[in-house]
Amino acid sequence: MSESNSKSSSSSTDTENNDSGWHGRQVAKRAFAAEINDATHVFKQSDEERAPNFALLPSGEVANRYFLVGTITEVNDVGNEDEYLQARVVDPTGTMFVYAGQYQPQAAALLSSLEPPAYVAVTAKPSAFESDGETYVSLRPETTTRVDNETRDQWVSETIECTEARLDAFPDSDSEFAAMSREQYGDSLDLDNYREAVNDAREDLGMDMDHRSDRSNSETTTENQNDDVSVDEDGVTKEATVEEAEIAAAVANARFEE
Amino acid sequence: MLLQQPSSGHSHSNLIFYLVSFTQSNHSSQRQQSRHFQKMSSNTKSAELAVTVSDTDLSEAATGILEQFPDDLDGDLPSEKEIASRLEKMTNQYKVPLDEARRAAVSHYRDVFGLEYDDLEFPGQSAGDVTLASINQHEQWVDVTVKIVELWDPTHDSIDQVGLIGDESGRLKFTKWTKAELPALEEGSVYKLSNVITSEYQGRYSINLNSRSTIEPVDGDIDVRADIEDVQLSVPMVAIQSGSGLIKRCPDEDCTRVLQNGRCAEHGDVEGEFDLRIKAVFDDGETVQYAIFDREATEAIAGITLNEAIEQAMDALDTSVVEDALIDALVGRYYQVEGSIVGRYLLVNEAEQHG
Repeated sequence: MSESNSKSSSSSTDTENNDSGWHGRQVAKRAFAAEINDATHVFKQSDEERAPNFALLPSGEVANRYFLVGTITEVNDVGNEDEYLQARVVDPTGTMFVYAGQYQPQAAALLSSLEPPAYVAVTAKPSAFESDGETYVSLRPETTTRVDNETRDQWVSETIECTEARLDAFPDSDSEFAAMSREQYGDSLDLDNYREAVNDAREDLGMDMDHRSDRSNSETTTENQNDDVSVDEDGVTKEATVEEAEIAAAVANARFEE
Repeated sequence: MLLQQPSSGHSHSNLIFYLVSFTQSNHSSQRQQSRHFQKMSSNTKSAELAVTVSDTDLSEAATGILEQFPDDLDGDLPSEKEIASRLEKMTNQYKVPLDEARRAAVSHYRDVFGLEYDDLEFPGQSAGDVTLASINQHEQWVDVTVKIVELWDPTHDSIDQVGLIGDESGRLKFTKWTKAELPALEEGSVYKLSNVITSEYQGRYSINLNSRSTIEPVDGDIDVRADIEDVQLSVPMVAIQSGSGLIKRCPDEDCTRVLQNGRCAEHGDVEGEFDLRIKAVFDDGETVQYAIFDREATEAIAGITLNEAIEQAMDALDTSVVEDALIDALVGRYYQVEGSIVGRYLLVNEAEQHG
């Protein structure tokens, strides 16, 4: 009891003296690889030097940070002199690229020590880089830990809900970011892709039986499209496979800008 | 109040922050109806407008008003009948709610006799010794024994002192009016405050010290209850912040600050005492919740004792190995967390990993 008292008085002082600080941390958004990799528009909301970067999710929200859980399938050192690790993190909808160097010692240590395949949880900041006219998303980990398949399934199920909530809200949304998404992604914006991603995730969890009846009534088209997506043995969709060397080179340059 | 309420708006998710209960129930809706004296805001009782007030109620109200005036007035007191007829006119003729009529009548007779509000008496009104958490009436005369938790800067000349008082049951704001000419209260000291009057504003209660109130210093200390809100979360831990793991605290009993490089901000270089804690960040995708695991909670969630942590650090010649091990073992997993919100932190009582 006296413990909590001393903490309460000190924390109350904190809040009074440092009011700006305690809303400071940005939330970690949940999104699948399919959407994270499409969130290529990264911007700052203010001109201040330390203003946070936000990636614009096509579904109309912004993310300064992601929390994700997936399968590490491969870790490569893509650095020139210093070690710079590129990890492929796969979720039911695609592959994300996580890069860790000397400024991410915790993540780098874990990535270099584990034997793929392995489930990992990653808290990471997004950035985007261009290579040959294409924009790619890379993730810079803050913390990376090895987790079990229950944690992974829980994340998938949580991310299904978060993604669906965003997609459901989008059509009637008059939010600044929904408008920004329509403007930024324009013709390439196809939210059905993320509905499909959600369905893939559902199937991954073995939840398809529960939802098949709903879908056959209302989303037959989506399901048909779903069948067309080709998936290789790792569960990686083909579209997500990109020229790795290219990315590695671009990222190795891009990281110095941060 | 120092409460931080977890934000709402998680309609889409079943992994949400939700309130289990308020341990402090000052927001009680069952405010007792005081017959003798009750100030109502002008529009709260509009339903009474249409109702005819009975003679019995009028006469009771009149007696109540009469009792508030001291016996030794310059001039004759109005009769009960006179007051009742005044109330009757306002209520049944002019459709004023009885409480408003009563307030107006008291105000009228105060003017007539040149009395200050503070000069009025409220026989039978003092609830005597009460705890702060039990206060749930507006304008009730009470006695409280409290510690002065914090003094704030008065915002107006009419306020002599203002701040936070606390007892074992909770905390309330207090205001000591300049006109009352009462002795100064000191932060951290304990007093018996007698004949103080409660007031309510937007569901929150406070205590007023006026010229009828008395202050009596009391020896000893009070273990003031923190403002606490119990919560249960089902969330992943997305980070462990630096300053977690094996730490050293200042050995001074009243200090217990965490040492930075062997130094206490208050007491300089000291021989610190080892302790375990986790400063964690939980995040459900909508809201960030900072959390603190004390030694007991850390030992429970990490399955490591303080002594084992000290051994780990000795072997590595580095205390940071403990923090690193906690990050690897705990971050990225989903938890059922139960604890109390104090300020911006969730003080963890119990946390259990899912699955």
